[in-house]
Amino acid sequence: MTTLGKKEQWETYCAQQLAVVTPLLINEGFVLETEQPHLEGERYVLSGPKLVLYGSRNSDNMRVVIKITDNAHEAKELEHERTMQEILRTIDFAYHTFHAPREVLFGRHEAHTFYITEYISQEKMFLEHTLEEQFFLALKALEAQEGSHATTHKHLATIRKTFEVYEAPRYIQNLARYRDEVTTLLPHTKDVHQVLTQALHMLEKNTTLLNVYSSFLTHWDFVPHNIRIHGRDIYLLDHSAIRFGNKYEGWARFMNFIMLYHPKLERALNTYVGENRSPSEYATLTLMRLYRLSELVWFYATKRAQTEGDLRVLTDARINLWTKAIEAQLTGTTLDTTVIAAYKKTRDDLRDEDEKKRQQTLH
Amino acid sequence: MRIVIATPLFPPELGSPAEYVSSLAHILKSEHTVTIVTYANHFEPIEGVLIVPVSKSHTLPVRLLLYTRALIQYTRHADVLYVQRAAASGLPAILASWFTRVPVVVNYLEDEAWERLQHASFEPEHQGTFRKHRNIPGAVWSIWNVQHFVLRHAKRVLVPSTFIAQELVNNYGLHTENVHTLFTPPKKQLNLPFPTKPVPYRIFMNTRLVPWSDVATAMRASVLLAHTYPDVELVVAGDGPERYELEQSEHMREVRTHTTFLGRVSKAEELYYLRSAEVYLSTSTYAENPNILLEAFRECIPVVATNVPGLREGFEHEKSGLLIPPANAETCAQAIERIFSDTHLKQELVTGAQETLHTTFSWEAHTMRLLEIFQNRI
Repeated sequence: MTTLGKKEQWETYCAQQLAVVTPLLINEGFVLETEQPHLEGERYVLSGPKLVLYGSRNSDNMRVVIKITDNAHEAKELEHERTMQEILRTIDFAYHTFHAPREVLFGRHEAHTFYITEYISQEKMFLEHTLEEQFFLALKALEAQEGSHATTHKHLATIRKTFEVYEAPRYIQNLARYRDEVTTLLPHTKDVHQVLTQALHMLEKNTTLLNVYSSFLTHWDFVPHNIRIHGRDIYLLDHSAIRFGNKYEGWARFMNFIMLYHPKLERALNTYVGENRSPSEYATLTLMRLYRLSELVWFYATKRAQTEGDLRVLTDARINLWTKAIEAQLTGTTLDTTVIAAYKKTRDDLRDEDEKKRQQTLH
Repeated sequence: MRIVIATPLFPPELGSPAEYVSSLAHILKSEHTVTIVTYANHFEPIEGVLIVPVSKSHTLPVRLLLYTRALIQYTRHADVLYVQRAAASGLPAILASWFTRVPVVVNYLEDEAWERLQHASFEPEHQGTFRKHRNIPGAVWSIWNVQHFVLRHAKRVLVPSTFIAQELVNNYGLHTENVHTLFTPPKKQLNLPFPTKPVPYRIFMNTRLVPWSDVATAMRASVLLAHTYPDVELVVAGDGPERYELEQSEHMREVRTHTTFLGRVSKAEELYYLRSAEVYLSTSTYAENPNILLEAFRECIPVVATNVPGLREGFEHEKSGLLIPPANAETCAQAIERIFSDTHLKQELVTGAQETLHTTFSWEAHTMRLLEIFQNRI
């Protein structure tokens, strides 16, 4: 499928869905906003058959986030996310609970399933805060996750049916699969294959370490656009991304992401773990960063076939960037700032206007 | 000595016993044989220390049985069995000691039944009232009884203040000669990845927002201070059932003008604010021990704290801090003003606090006294 075809298909899907869900939501007492940033930009490559919409409740004008789908798989995901949120609220082995947007309405209407939650307003986007504020906000949210460690028979019984549980073998199996699939998808990029193989060997050599820090609650997509800051409280969004896995999985995702947007914050978090936690914890952070970076390379390799034109060039630039980031982690260095700057220039040159607009609302 | 430490928690688990046992083992291992028995599926190894994990994946009765068996096995030739917390590790320790005759020393950090209640957000009262009246709900009845059984059967019970020692003697019927005060050393010092700038006239508190923290008195004191120091700011880190009342209620509106509530923050953020402050303040009307003051001592921030049993053991008035009467905003403000206006006094208090930290609360002092207790010299 070409980019154009895929994009057109997404736009048609959105238009058809909006025509159906708008009256459905009006009937439920909600009205949609005119601007819907989560339908635009690169969403067509990233999203499944599900709409994420902004709207408000008629009775009190409360702003809400509406997730709605007529796809059976996506509907199950929504139900699952809701169950996860309910269990997290009642989990009794967490040291710290964290905030989540309140559910406003969950329901079904004919083929559609919808999950409506309150919109958490924030005065500033995450990246508009000072370095210190960003550091402490991130640390607070990461420590809140670490506070839930499922270890006993009772804990595991509570979470097993709802959450995925990752230990060392699963991370290693996944990484081996990423490496093999990338090799098939990108047969002419031997350096990528080589780097992913080295990352895999690092994980295989350190199975014990991966297990020591397993069974912690972790948000595997912990990035600024999945948190909202209201007053001094942090709200975690997208609970479907929560699982019980390595303690440093959320850290790794966040640090890999923030490396592009605020390298000083990435270095501050890295220093903090290095200086205040045990050497084995720091080593585990590196292992998880390797894993999550490899996953990024795999992710863009799998999406590459759906792209063409500027987006194809941008996808290649992303694969190249994250491969270099893996190399830096393997050698214990930081990714060269000139590499980051060059990538950002390429990205900004190639991104379409809709995507630029969408990005502005995210971080 | 051959020391076996029984602990319910060990890294990577979080919590005070885990951190304490790990630090202690690192110190003791050079001159003693140290074995740690813990509930764990995985653990952080310590070179030179034998760590015996008892899997947490079993049901509770099986876990207790396996833990007891491990303790019997590893304490056969030990000189002492040092137990962290009375319930989860204490019961197997007492049972094991009946077989091996090894003396059991229990490190009583806080009342576990009360802690469970607090964790479940009941928190009806502070530990002192809980111990005295023993209004023990069914949910924690068994924990309280196990704890009581263990404390009565241990050879020695170590507590982090003379106040708690007295409490256990008065309320739980322990013999005075079996209960010893062993001050807790401060937690590992954190390094922040950026410097902190001092903020003039900033007062810092970190406390659970419960009635006996009496944050309202601190807020009133900050308003009084604002007459002379308009930039005064009281920064409060912590969460709790009183938060709404203090932070948002209408009748507290006027005294809130110079207060910032941080809510629950990380230890790193607490340290950041502490380092930026001119004074560390505790207005608690009840405290179990002086541990909350140690971070301020280490960071050279002068301390003003209420004259209540648990806290006043931590320092000497006018030498390493200033004592104030509880629930008195005026004397609280006066004490803080003395520090704001007198750099010489400030320096004296900081020097005195550093000395107290070294002589009373250091790891050296802690370990020396602990070994004396182990060797039955106390």
